[in-house]
This record gives sequence, C-alpha cells and structure tokens, in this order.
Amino acid sequence: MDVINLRKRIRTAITSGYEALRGIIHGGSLVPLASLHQEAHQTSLLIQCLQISKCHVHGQDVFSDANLQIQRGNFTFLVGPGGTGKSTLFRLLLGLESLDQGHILIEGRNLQHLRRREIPYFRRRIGVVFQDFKLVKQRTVFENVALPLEVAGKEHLFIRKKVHRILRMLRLDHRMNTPCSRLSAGERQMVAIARAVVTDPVILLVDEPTGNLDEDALRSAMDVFAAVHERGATVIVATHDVSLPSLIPGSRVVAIHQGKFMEKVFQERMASPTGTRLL
Amino acid sequence: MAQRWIRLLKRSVRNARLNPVTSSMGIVTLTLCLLFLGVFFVLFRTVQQSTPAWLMDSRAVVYLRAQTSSQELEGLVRNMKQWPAVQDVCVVSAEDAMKRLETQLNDWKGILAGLQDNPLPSSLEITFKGKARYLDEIPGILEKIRQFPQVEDVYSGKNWTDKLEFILSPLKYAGVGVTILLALAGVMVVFHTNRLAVLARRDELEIYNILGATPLYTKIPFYVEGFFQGAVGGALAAVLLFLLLRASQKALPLPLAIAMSWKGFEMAALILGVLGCGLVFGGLGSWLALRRCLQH
Repeated sequence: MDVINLRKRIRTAITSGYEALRGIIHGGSLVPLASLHQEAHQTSLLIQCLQISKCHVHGQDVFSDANLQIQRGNFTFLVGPGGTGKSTLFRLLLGLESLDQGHILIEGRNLQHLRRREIPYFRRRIGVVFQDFKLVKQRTVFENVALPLEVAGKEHLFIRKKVHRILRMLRLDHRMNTPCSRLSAGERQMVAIARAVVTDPVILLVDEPTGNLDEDALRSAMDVFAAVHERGATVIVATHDVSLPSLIPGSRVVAIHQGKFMEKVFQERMASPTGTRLL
Repeated sequence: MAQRWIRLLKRSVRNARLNPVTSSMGIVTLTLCLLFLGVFFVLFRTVQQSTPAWLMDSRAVVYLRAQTSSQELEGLVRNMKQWPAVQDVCVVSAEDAMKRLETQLNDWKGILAGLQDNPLPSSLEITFKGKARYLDEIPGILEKIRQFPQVEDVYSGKNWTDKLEFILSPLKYAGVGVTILLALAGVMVVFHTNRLAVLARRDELEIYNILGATPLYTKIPFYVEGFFQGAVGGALAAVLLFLLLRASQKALPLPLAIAMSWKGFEMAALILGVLGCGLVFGGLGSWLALRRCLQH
C-alpha cells in the first residue's frame, strides 16, 4: 500500500515538475502554469478555464478570453440560450476539441499537455450525458450502461452488480435487455444518465437534461445528479432552462454571454407552491 | 485479463455479424485472390522444375553407345578432364539413370515396372567452367566430342540456355509483377472491408472514445475481424488449391501431371504458405484501414 502511495506521489511530483517546466517554457506573456498548479492544490480548484478562446469553423467566436473556475464538489448550472457554447465547453473539457488560445486545467493538469496515452484514463474520470445521448442503438440498455466499466477493464461480476443497482435506482431494470433503438427519448436519456454515473465519476457533465424528460423523470434525474454530487462529485449541468437551478439548492449558476462566463446571483425571492425557487 | 480478451473476441464476432454481407464478400474475394496467387505459384514452380538442370547451366550430356567398354569410358573421361574449359566430368551409368528417373516419376514410378531391360544409355555429364572465355569455346568442344566413335549423341545446355532465358526471363518478371499485384489486391480487399466496417461503426467508436477506451480496445475487434477474414480466405483458398491440384493429376496428360505432382511436405508447405498469406493480408489490410480511418 505504502509503495503504491509512494509511486503515486513520485509520479505526481514528476508530472508537476514537467508541467511547471512547460509553463516556464511556454509561459512568457501567457499563464504561469506552475503557480496555477499550486493554486489548484491549495484551493481545491477542480476546473480552471484560463483566458480561453475558441472559434467555430465559420469564424464565430464561442469563447473569447473567458475565465471560469469551478471548485471541487460544486454543483454548477451553465445557463444560456442554444448555441452559446455550453456543449462546446463540455467537448473542450473532455479533450474532444482543442482551444485556440488559453488553458484548461483539471485537477491542476493542463489538458493541452496531456499525453495521447493519458487521455483515455483522464476521460474515464468524467461522466457525460450528451444532448443526443450517444448510445449504441443496437445494444441493449444493460450493455450500454456497462460500456464505461467494460472499457475500464472491470470484472464481469462487478459490472453486473453495479449496472443492476444503477438501473434499479433509475427504474430501468425492466428494460434491461431492450435494445436502445426501441426506447423512447425519455428512456434513452435515463440510460445515458445511468451510463454517465455508473463509474462514480469525479466530474459529471450533463448537457440539456430537460429536453426529453417529463416532470417526474426530470425530478428523478435531478435526484440522481444530487446523489452523485453528495458522494463528492463535481456536477455541471448545461441548460437553457433558467428555472432548473432552483431544483438544486445551493447550486452555482454561471451564464455564458458573448463568449464570456458570468456569475449569476441566485436569490431566493419567493418560493413557489411546488418548492421551486425563482431567479 | 483473460475475461477482457474473451469480451473483446465476443465483441469482434458480434461486430462481424452486424455486416454479414460485407464480411462474406470480403472473404470470397480474398479467397479468389489467394487461389490465383497459389495457382500462379504452382505454375511458375512447375515450369522451373520441369526444366532439366543441364538446360539451365553451362553443361552438356554425352550419351554413349551401349557397347562402350569401361576402359574406353575411363579413357574418354581422362581425356576430357584435361581440356581447360571442362570443370568436371561425371559418369552416369544406365542403372543410375534409371534410379534418377524413378525418383523424378515419384508416385508414377510404377509405369516402369513393365520394362524388362533398362533402355537408358550410360552418359557423361560435363560441367564447363563458368568463365566467359571458356563459354565461347563450348560449341567447338561439343563438335570435338561428337567425333569420338563411342558417342551416340550430345545435348548441350548452351544453345538452349539462351532460348530459355529469352522465354523465362520475362516470365520471371511477370511472375513477380503478378504476385505483387495479387498480394496488393488481397490487402486492398481486407482494407476496404475493414474501412466499411469502421465507417459503419463510426458513431459507436466515437462513444468508446468519449468513455475513455484506449486505442487498443477500439482497434482489436477490427484486427480480429481482419485476421479472421484472412484465415478463412486462406483456408478456403488452400482447400480449393489442393482439390485443383488433385483434379489436375487426373485430367492432365502424363508428362504434365508428373511435372505438377507435389510431395507431401511440399503440399503442406504450399497450404501453410497460402494460409500465412491470408493472415498477413488480413493483418496488413486491417492495419491500413485503421491507420486511415482512426487517426483521431
């Protein structure tokens, strides 16, 4: 056990040193990365988007010199109308797209400096629910939910237990052997949620969860997100529905406006009869 | 670890089942390709093997009259060995010639059983020195040999070598060209089959990528599919080639049938070669397809 810890510590030290050196080399007028690593460790910052800029293919700026910091264990809502860059931010956080400028640091590690072979292991720590679900349609519900565990090389028995538990929790156990192509949109979204949380991710990214769920389903989905959050995960929900943050008390709301992140002050002005609070 | 590999193999089989038409077409085309390659190899080898050694090299065979005594024979050999252009003179008795024929006939040697006397003459096999200045002397030497009263006939490779070179040289180049073309065709078949499979499953692969699958995890099923196609294609081609050779033994005239007869270990090597080619084409085709389609 001690040997493993020691190896981890040595590896972290080497990686930090390497990153620091890169910071010095690439730093200059840019961001001094070494100090950011230190800051990340000291303040338990999990995600840091530093002066990020991203341009779409047709030339429109999605982010322009934008900054965002998310603490470990936060529940954050990313609000804004469609096309403002919520999904793009998720793709950037997953390393599926690259930045034009700036840096994204997760747990103090710069995504741009991740080695190719490190990327899969990094992605396994992030659960994602995409707007279009991204399920393998010809596979069953069980197989889809089991996929991230299979990819991570978990034991068959462990996978079975874990998937059964999650599906039971989301009331999908009766659809376990149904191919995803035969599910309704709402059911598919629940499967996507189950797949995202089955690995107990450090970060959970949810893109537009309201689109295909009725009120009850949405509540159970939000309960799942809250449960994942309570277990210590950092949850980021992207939505155009500004009333959604009211379902999670104490959550943080960040709006994307003209390529920048803007903190929204959440005030508990009045409570509706259903208990939802208004912005 | 073993469980993981079993899962990957199961996934490969399931993926192959998703595109049965493409996979089957790929296997059939690869089989034909390997079969042509095998047939071409067999023909090429037959032509090479059917050419006697004395036609290929700077050699001559001197057939002696039946009544030649051993003293005369020794005198002839001694005489010839003194000529500067001659490297070696080897005596092949009538018995040795018969033994050689039996070995060449292989499975067909039974046809010689009916012979009461050995009809083959004794002969001298003359090897000339390879240097150019001696090669020019060969026609003169052959003429000199013909003058000996003990000599019945003389066959020299010198005249034939030029003619054979003229025929075999382009055939060799064509052989290499056709082999390369067929090999490329085989690789391309697997490449395109696998490329179609990758494109058909592009969304699925993107999902694996997002979920943190390593490149190896993503690629292995396609490699398995490629090797599977190669193995099945190779096996089918080997069986067809074997049957074709067997059928040719019965259908072709005797001399050709003898030329195309293969010994047991040669046949095994041929079958293994075709199988190996299938596997190599399968692996190479998959590698190219994945390199092309899964760059990101």
